[in-house]
Amino acid sequence: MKTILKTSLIVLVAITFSFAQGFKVKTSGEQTFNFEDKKGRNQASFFSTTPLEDITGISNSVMGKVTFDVTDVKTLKGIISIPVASIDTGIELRNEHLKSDNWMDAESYPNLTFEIKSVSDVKTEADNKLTAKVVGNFTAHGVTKEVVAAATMSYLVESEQTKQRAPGDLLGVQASFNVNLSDYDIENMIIGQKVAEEIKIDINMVGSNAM
Amino acid sequence: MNSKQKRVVTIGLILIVAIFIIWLAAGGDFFTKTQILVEQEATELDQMLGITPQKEYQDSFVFGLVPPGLVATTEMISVVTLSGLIFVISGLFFFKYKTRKVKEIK
Repeated sequence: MKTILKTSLIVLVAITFSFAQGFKVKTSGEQTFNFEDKKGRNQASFFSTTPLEDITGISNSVMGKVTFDVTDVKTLKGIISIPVASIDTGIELRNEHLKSDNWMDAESYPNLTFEIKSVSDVKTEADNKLTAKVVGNFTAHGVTKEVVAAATMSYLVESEQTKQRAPGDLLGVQASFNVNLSDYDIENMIIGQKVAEEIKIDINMVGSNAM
Repeated sequence: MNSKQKRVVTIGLILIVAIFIIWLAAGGDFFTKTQILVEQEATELDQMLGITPQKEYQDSFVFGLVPPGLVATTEMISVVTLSGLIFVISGLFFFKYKTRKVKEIK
């Protein structure tokens, strides 16, 4: 009986570990990474392309926290937010238009948010690097829709080199996904002419578990 | 059309053609830009963290076909505005010389 129990336990543990995909680093257990960077090095970019013009909006005010078990990235949870007022398109008038109630209505809906719901298709690139599909609720202009972001995550255990950026272990995240403006009740005459209906969003951010 | 009017039209056309040539040589952008997006160099740490280098807008003038808005004076400098200005000035001189010619006949 004991042998059967032992074998079952070993099989159960083996199955659990075979499905758990995460980083193979010195750090273990649940970790929380804070992406607030006072030096503004975390960046989100918004890209629109039309035959008339390519527009890139950038924000260096990406904020948020994520928590996950280092050995199982599928446990990832958290929220990332970007203040609409922080988006710079390279033209002051366009920045003002973007914030106005004809577009993002920054006064009523000050933040864009991405709330992580689940993680799938985890592929290990290296012991400290993996790619995954991150499913989340993206909220813009007061409307929330589910989106899937293709993400690359890199884990660096604290070293003299990582301390140049921030104390603690660092998590680098590069994620991108597309959204349709009409899905978020953003309608304007120039969508499809100067501004594309589909906007590509790229996020590059580094979080620390010591902040 | 007298000789002065012909000179005005010729100079106006040459200037407008020159503006188009300058615009094409500057890259032929549709809108005038006063800032351009520049990607910073990736550091070794950026590469280790798997993130792309930061981008930032830097002041730089790009001569475009039309102005992006009606705000800053520099943003107004474009093929359409400069050509329009030359057209209006040429038109004024054209009529100025026409009037003088009529007065001279009287």
